[in-house]
Amino acid sequence: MQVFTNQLVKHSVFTKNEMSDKNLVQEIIQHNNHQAFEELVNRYKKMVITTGMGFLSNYHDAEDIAQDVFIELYKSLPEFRNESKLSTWIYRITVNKSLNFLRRRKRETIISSFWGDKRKENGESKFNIHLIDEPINSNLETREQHRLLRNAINKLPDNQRIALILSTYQELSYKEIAEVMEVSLSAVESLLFRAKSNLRKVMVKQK
Amino acid sequence: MRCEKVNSLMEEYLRGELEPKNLGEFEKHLAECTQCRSNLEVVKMLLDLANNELSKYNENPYFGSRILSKIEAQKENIRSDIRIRLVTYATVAAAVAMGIFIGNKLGNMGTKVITSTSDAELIADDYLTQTTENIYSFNIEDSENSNKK
Repeated sequence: MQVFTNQLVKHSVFTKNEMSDKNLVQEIIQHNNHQAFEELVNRYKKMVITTGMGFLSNYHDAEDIAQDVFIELYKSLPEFRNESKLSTWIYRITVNKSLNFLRRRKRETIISSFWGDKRKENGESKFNIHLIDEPINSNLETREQHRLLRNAINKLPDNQRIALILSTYQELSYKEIAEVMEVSLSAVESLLFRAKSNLRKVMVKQK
Repeated sequence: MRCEKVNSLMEEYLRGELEPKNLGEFEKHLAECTQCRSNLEVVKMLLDLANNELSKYNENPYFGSRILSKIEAQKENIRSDIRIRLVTYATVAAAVAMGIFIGNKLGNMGTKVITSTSDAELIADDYLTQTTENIYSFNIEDSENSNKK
């Protein structure tokens, strides 16, 4: 297979894995190359979906968010200046989309809690929306612990939650987290310390 | 070692990736600090929760093509929106032009267009139906009668 080297060659045959992010982005912007975009999606889909799962704790919601992330990415690629890594940029879009989704869901929950009472009067269940994936392969005690922990994570301030999820679910280094969040290394250290201490306080209280 | 530093090394410690040079100090701090020991328990639970949730990830081979078809659908929606807008604008413009044309026609229905002198006389007859006394006309009969008298 011919290796893609010349960016000006239209619809060139290329070895996907050998193309850098920068080359893929140029292929998409200059030639609207769908094959290159699909390669970009395949390269980052796991990263985006699993980050979304960290915020939403639901695979299907995370996949929906991931679709929005890549559509947004496609539209905004011409604005990408290569000043930061593409992955950093994708992380930022994912975090914003996930937080917006949670805010929207919170609003819907408030509204549905009002209508839920009406439904209850009509004999309908109000627990039929936004089911959280139950952890698999776990006993009752662990599941209860996970549920409490998940609730505690959801109540953390946004900055602490973002740092915690990027660290735990994505295993990003403090430097990478600092780049995504556009804060200093010491700020990340402090955010994670406070996040863990807040979770500890909640979990100790529950025991 | 400070509490913040110990907390920053917890994930590495639990994954067995902590460098040996930090291990001694890390464990010494843990033995002395109750809060950091509790935090370590929380981090352990966190990693367990993350592993559990991430185990539900499914590799979807159609994900990329699905996004591309969504993008194409959105583009097509934009194109049809533009088409609808153009048709709407054209319809409104045609309606306005038609309105002006009909208005013009209706406005002209009451007025007669004069094309010849005979037309002008007819119109004059329409408007001047009452006979008016012409002060300049000379009544011969009357003047003859008065002479006889």
